[in-house]
Amino acid sequence: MWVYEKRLQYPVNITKTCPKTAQLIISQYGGPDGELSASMRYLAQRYTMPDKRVGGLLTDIGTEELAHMEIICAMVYQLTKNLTVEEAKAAGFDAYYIDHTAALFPQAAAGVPFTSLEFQSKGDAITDLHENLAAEQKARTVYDNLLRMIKDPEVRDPLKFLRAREVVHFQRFGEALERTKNLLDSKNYYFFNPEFDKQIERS
Amino acid sequence: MEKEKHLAIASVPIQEWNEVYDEEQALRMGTIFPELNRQFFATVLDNELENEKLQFSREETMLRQIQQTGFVLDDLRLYMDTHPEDQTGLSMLKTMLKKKRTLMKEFAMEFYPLAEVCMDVIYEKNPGSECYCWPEGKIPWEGVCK
Repeated sequence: MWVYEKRLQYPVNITKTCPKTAQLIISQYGGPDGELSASMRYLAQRYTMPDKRVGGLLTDIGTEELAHMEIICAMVYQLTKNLTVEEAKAAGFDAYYIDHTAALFPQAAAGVPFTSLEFQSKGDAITDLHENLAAEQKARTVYDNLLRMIKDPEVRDPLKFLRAREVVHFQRFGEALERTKNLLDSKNYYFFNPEFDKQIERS
Repeated sequence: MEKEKHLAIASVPIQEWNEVYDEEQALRMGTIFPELNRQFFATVLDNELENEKLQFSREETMLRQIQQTGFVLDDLRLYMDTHPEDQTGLSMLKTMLKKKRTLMKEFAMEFYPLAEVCMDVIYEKNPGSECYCWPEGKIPWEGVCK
């Protein structure tokens, strides 16, 4: 069950229309390391986590990622809400405009639509937590790349916030990995899969 | 808490509780923990976003406070998820939960409800209200709370 609060986690107030910037930022909505795949990845992985506290962490981070998705969508929306056809053409936003007008559609910066293959749910706690550590780093890199390229301070402000969250989430997933390692034999962490070989864990 | 390192497995040190930012700074930095604030070189020379409006309305000020307190709770909860025994964190969590509830209540009474529990606050005070207050107020993605 989810409860909605009618506010953004971090304020977004963008006053200048810029379809070019929208086209880059949209990658953090529907791109391979975007907030949509992050939230769906964590919320999918949590059911089979052997340590229920790690499942709880995945719920909380997955929920925060939904709020980040809302921030990114608000940014894309504000960058394009007063868009003219001429501006779309000049910025190379015309192909997107033809299929989606100025609506939100999850895709990567280069136009590849969102795919569920990006959410990576492997069913082994060690594997999935490493995946999540990498996912946070990949998302941070995308925010770094956006921050090198985009100059508008109104756009940079929420991007900096979102980037900072990736670093914090990395730390938490690292701590979740340490918790999970405690369930395993440190002489061989790979002797069995704690999400599947439950009878071995009990013995 | 840190144990010996092993080959062929990643290790991340467990964070220990130190000083934390105040609510305003925490939201600005994206974390309540100074030691997790790792800036990117391309942003260190950024000036603070200038709020052209020097006078905030009461609604904007309150919404910003809710955003700040709400964010401290978001970050603190993740810390508590991996540090369930930390009593300093827990005591901060208790204070912040109370503060957020009070702010949300006040905001609902003066402006509009931000969540279902805030609708309840309005109807409790005024059971005969004919206002379905959920659609009231600003749409989050339109850009509010400067």
